Amino acid sequence: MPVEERRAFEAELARDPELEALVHQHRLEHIGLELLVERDLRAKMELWDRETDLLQQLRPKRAKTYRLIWIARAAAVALVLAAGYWFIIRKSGEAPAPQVVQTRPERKGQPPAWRKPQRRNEPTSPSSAEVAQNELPPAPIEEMQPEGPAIDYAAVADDFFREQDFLPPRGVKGGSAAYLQGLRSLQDGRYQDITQTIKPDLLSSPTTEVVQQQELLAVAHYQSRQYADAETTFRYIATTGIQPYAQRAEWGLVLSLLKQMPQRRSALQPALEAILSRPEHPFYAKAQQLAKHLKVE
Amino acid sequence: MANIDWSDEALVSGIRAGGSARDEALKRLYLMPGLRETVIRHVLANGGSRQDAQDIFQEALVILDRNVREGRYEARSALSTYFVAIAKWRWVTVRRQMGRYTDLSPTHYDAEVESPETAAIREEYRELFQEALSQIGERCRELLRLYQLDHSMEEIAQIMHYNSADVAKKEAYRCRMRFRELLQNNPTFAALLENRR
Repeated sequence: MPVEERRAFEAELARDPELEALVHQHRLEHIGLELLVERDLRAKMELWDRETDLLQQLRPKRAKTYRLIWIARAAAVALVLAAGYWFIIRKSGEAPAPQVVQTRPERKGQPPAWRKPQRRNEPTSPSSAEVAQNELPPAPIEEMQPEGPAIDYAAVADDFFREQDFLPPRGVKGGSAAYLQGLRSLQDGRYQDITQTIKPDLLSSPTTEVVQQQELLAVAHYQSRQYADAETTFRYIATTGIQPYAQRAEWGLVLSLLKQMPQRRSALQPALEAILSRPEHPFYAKAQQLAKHLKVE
Repeated sequence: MANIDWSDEALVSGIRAGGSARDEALKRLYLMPGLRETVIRHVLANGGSRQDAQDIFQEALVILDRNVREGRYEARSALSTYFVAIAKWRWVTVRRQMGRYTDLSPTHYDAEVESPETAAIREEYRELFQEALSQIGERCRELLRLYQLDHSMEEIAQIMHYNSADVAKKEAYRCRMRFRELLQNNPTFAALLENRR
C-alpha cells in the first residue's frame, strides 16, 4: 500500500473502532493461516533433506564404480598391448611354423539315432480347461469402488483425517517430558523432529509411555506423507491393546491404508471391518460414514 | 526449470509466483552451497548446537518466504545476505527467549522481518491457532493454504478438483468461516481480540 493510502487508512481506523476491530481480527486470522504455509514448507524441507541424504549415500558407490570401470579399462588396454607385443616378438624371432598337412578325416561310427521313448499308459494330466472346471473359483474380491466415477481415495482420507483425533484432550498434562516435547513438535508441524528422535519400538510388551510416543511417530509419518510407515506403526499400536491408543490406531490404520489405495485394497477391508464389527468403538460412526462413502457392504 | 539462471530476481519472482515456481525457488535457496554452513558457523560461534543451527536455518527460510510474499524484502542486499541476516536475528531472539542474554539485540540486524507485536502474537498464540487448524479438516487446510498463497480461485479449483472457480470460492468461504468460528469460540482468542479495543 502506498504511504499516503496507508496513512489515510490508519486515520480511518482510528476514527472507526468497529472497522479497526474487523481489521485486527482479519490480521489475526492471517497470522493463523500462515502456519499452514509454514507447516507445508517444513514438510518440503524434510523431503529435500531426505533427497540430499539419498544422493550423498549413492555418490560414494558411484565413485567406486567409476574407479573400477577405469581400472578395468586400463587393464584391458594393458592386456591388448602385452598380447600384441608378445605376438610381434614371437613372429620376428621364431622358426617358421610347420606346414599343415591335410589328411582325410576318419569316418567315425554313426551315433545311435535318438529315439523318442515309448509312451506308457500313464494317466494324462488334466487339461487346463478341466482344471478350471473342477477348481473352486477364487473368492471374489469385494469391489469397493462403486459404479460410476472413480473415487479419489486420498481426498476421502483427507476429509476424514483430524490430527486432533490423535492428540490428548486440552488441559491433559500427562506424559513424559519426551512425549510433551514430541507433542509440541507435532503441533508446530516439525515432523522431522519426531521421526528423527522417536524410533519404531516394536516391543511385545510396551508400556503406555512407549505407545504414546509411537502414536506421535505414526501421526508424524502420516503428516509427512509416509503412509507405509504410518501404517506399520498404527498397526503395531493397535495390537498392543493399550487404550485409548489402540482404538485410535485402528482408525489411523484405516486412513493410512486409504491413502495407499488401490494398492492396499485387500488390507483396507479387514481394517475397516475391525471397527465396524464393534458399535462401541469410538470411531464406529466415522467408520460407518467412510464405508458408506466407499459403498462397502 | 533446470535451465533457469537462479539470480536473486529469479528466486524472488519464483517465490512470489507461487505453485511449483515457488517450490523450486525455495528449494534452490535451501540447497544453496555455503548458505547452511554460514548459518551453522554463526550459531555454533554464538552458543548454539548443531541442532539449534539446523532449526534456525529452517526457520530463516520460513521467515524469508513470508517476507518476500508480503513485500518486506526490498532487494537492498543480496538475497543470501538477507537470509543470513534473518537467521542471525532469529538466533538472537531465540537466545533471549531462552534467557541467554546477549549484548546484541535483534535491531542489530537490518533484516526487516516483521513487527515485534506480530512476532509475539505468532509465538504466544501458536498453540491456539494450531488447535483451530487441526479441527477444520485436511481438505480445508489445503484449500486455505493455497488461498493464503494468493492462488486464484481458478487455480484452486484445478488443484483441488472442484467443478468451477465458484465452487472453490464457496468452499474457501466456508473453510474461512469455520476457522474464524473456531477461533472466536476460544476464550483465549476472544480475550486477544478484546485487548485490542
